[in-house]
Parts: sequence; C-alpha cells; structure tokens
Amino acid sequence: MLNERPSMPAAVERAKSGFVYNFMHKLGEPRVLGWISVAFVLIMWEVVVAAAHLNPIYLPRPTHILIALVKMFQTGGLLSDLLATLGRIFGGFAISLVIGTLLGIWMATSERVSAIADNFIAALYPLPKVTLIPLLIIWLGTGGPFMLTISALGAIFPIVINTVLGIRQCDSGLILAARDLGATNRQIISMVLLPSAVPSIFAGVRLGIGVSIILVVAAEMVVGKVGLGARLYLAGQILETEQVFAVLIVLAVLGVAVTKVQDLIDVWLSQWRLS
Amino acid sequence: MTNRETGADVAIDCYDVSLTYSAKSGAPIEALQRVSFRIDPHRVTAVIGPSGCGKSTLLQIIRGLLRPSAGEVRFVDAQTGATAPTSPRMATVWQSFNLFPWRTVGENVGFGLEVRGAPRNERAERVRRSLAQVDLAGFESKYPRQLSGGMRQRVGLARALVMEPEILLLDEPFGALDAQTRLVLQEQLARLVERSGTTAVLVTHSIEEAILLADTVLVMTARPGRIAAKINVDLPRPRSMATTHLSGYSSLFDQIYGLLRDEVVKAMVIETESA
Repeated sequence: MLNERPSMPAAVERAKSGFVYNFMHKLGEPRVLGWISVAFVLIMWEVVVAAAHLNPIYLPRPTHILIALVKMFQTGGLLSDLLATLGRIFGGFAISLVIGTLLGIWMATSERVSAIADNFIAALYPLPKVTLIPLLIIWLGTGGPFMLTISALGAIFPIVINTVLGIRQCDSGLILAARDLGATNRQIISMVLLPSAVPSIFAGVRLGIGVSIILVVAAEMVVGKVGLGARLYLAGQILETEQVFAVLIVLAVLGVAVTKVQDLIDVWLSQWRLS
Repeated sequence: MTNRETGADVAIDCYDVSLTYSAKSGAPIEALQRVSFRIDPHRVTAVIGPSGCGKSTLLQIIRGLLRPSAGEVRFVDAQTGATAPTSPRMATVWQSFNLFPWRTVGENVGFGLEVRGAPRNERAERVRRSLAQVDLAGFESKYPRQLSGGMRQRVGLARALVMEPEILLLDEPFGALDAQTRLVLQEQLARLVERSGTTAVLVTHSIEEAILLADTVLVMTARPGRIAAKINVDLPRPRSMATTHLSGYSSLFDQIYGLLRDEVVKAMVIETESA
C-alpha cells in the first residue's frame, strides 16, 4: 500500500473501510466501551485470582461463580427463592399502588382528609422502614402477611405523595373543560385528574419499587426461610462465597430488569405530555 | 339553534350580575358590577373590553361554572319571556384549547358524548361529522401534541360543536394563535356559525374580530366590569377580510375604539397599582 503511494484521500477512504479501522471505531462507541470494560474487569478478576491462588472463600473466580449459579438454579431451588421474592415485592407493591393511589386521590380532592393524613405521612415517610421490621414481626409474625406489609410500606409513601402532587398540578383549564362538557365530579376524577396524574404517579412507582426490593431482601435476611435474601444470608453463614456472589448476580439482574421495564413504560407515558 | 325539546328560541338575560372575589391579600376585588344585558337567539354577540375587565368571568357565569355574588342569569323564551323549563345545551371553546393531552383527537371530541353515556357507534359517527365540519376529517387517531395551534383549536371547536349547543361560548378562541391562522379561522368560524344558526357569545380582545363575527358588540369598562355600550353591527354577510374595506366597518371600528381606549388606559393604571 505504501509502495503504491496513493493520494491521501484515497488512503483515508481505504483505511476507513478496513476491518481494523472499523473495529477501533466501534471500540470508541460509548455502548461498546461500556461492555468491553465489564469484560475486561471480569477477565482480570479471573486471571489475578487464578494466578495469585487466592482462597475462594474470600474471592472466588467468576467462572466458578457462574457454575455455582447454574447449579443453584438446576438443583438448588434458587428459582423458587426468586419467585418467592418476586411475589413478595410485587404483591406488596400492588397493594400499595391501589391503596396509595386511592388515598392520594382522596387527599388531593379533600382538604380535610389531607389535613388528617399529612401529619402521619410527615412522621412516617422519613423513618427508615427497616426499623419497622422488629415491630412488624411482633405484630404479624414472619410469614406472608409480614412480607407483604413490609413490601407495601416501602412503596406506599412515594406513591401517595406523588399522586397528590400529580393531581394538584392538573391544569385547572382541563377541569373546567370537562365540567363544561357535562362531566360529573366522579367522572372528572377518573377521566381527568387521574390520567393527568399518571406520569407523576409513575415517578412515585419508580421510587417505591426500589424501596420495596430493599425492604423485602432485608426482611428475608433477618427472618426468611425462602427467598433471595434468606439464601444470601445462609450462604454467607456457611462461607459459600460462590453462592453469595451468585445470589448477588440474580439481584443485580432483577434490578436491571425492573429499570428496563420502567424505561419502556416511560416511553409509553410520553403521550401524556403535551409538547 | 332552536331548543329541540321545546321548539323555543332561548335568549340569555343577565340581571344585575356582580362578582366579587378576594385577592390573595384578602382584599375584596370587584370583577363585575351590576352587569345587565340580553343576548338574542341565533345571533352572535361579542363581548369586548380591556384585560381584567371580567369578560371571561362573565362567560363562565353564563355557563354556570361560576356563581355570581349577586344577580342572576336567566334563560328565557325569546317570544314569551317565560323562563325556559330546562337550561339550554351549551359548550365552550377555550383560549388555551384545554384539550386532554392523553386522549386522541377523536377521544377529545367525543368526551362530552362519552360522559353522557352515548353509545360507541353513535359517538364515532358524530365525532366524524364534527371533525369534517372543521376540515379535520381523518384526524381521529392523532394526539393534540401532533397538531399545530390552529388545528388544535379546530379540535376544540369540533369538541364544542359535537354537543349541538344551542349556545356556543367562545372565550378568546383565537387569542393564542398567530395573526394569519387567526384570520383564516375567523372566516371559518363566521361561516360555521351562520350556517348552524346557533346563538354565540364571543369574548375577544380584537375589535376586528368582534366586527367580523358579531351581530351585536357589548363594550365593557375596566374593572369593575360594566357594560359601557351595546353596538349593532349591520354590515352585510357573509363577511370576510373584504368587509374591512367598507366605510361602515371603519366607522364602527372608530366608535368601538373610542369607547375602549379610555377603558384600556384605566385598566393599565389598575394593573400598575396592583403590581
């Protein structure tokens, strides 16, 4: 190529279509770069642990963690733990979505209800909900009702607060227009206030689900017999570090999946916003 | 439009309507002061006045969305003067459109029929006809944010017309539009109203708009709003931009401007003092 002495533009052109150029160019793309750095860390982890003969109790090799993960799913019943945890998170979340939205609507449309509820919410909202675990165990025991309650407690406050906020921010012109077209108060709530508050309610849902996940896993670590938190705690107790990492991976994937689904819902919700 | 049930032509009688509300500081503000007038059926009446004179408030009082502090609005049989047995069908077109952003154009136009429980088929048919009236046939599934300002207001007009109102209330319907769109829509509205024979009350800032559209112009004073004059517009119909070249047009314009000018200056003083 050098012998031919092509003109500069032609050389640049050829280089651009070349495999190496393409590869280097792709490496520079932020998305690709992100994944490559993950792969790099994993490989370095594997190599360093193997080379230094580190005790796997402290830091197991990624490949061994992966094998442990597959085994736990195949024969260790990790799937039922995962399902139990998911059931607790989303069961409690569903309860808080229904109660939270209804309470929020009631508060936003009645000054009296709002005055009554405000102080209780102001007192309970900033309280770290994990501190309620001992009290809830005394009241409810450690079974299903306890798990659903702790999960619902995590999500309900952001949902209530954001529902109230969303409804109060509703454009008063829309309410007038609905009334002009003959809507009753009940229809105005269900056909105007609630839909206009949906983006705000969803912002509360985003915050709420995160807290629910934390609380359910924490509660499982304290008292659970099944569930990812219980599995994590047990594995740690018997120094099965590979299993500890395996459960952490499942929890991380769960978090990513929830975030992705929320992003999709966000795109769908964009129709609520007037440009 | 004549009342379908009774066959009577309904006029609007305003008797000594006053409205006083309290400002944020607690001081009472007199928006309307003993306003009396009659609006004849099948006629377009324009209400023109300086900003803050309570003309939009007056429209909401006629519609029953606001209760006056004193006085009343009566709907009477134009021939006999007897109070109408049922209040007439009314619909409002708003300056800020007030379309529901999460509903499609079709769902927006059908809102009033939906809250009255009209069956789906009938709704779809009437929505289709109403959109055709404002030259938006086939736009049912678009969202308001996908439309220009002028198109949005035509949706607003279709949403009111679909209710087949005996009285159409227009609250500065073209106030948020650019000057050219405004001209075209004024002509369209003039034709629609002439054809349907509906009674219309048009609140506007624009003398030109008042003269082009109305049979009668009510000129209001600065706050507290009172009726300063009632002026008949006897220019030939159909009217268009060509109407503005008639000598009758300029004398009417000068007459209304003469009445308004002092009031606008007064309104400016009020605004400066309260700022």
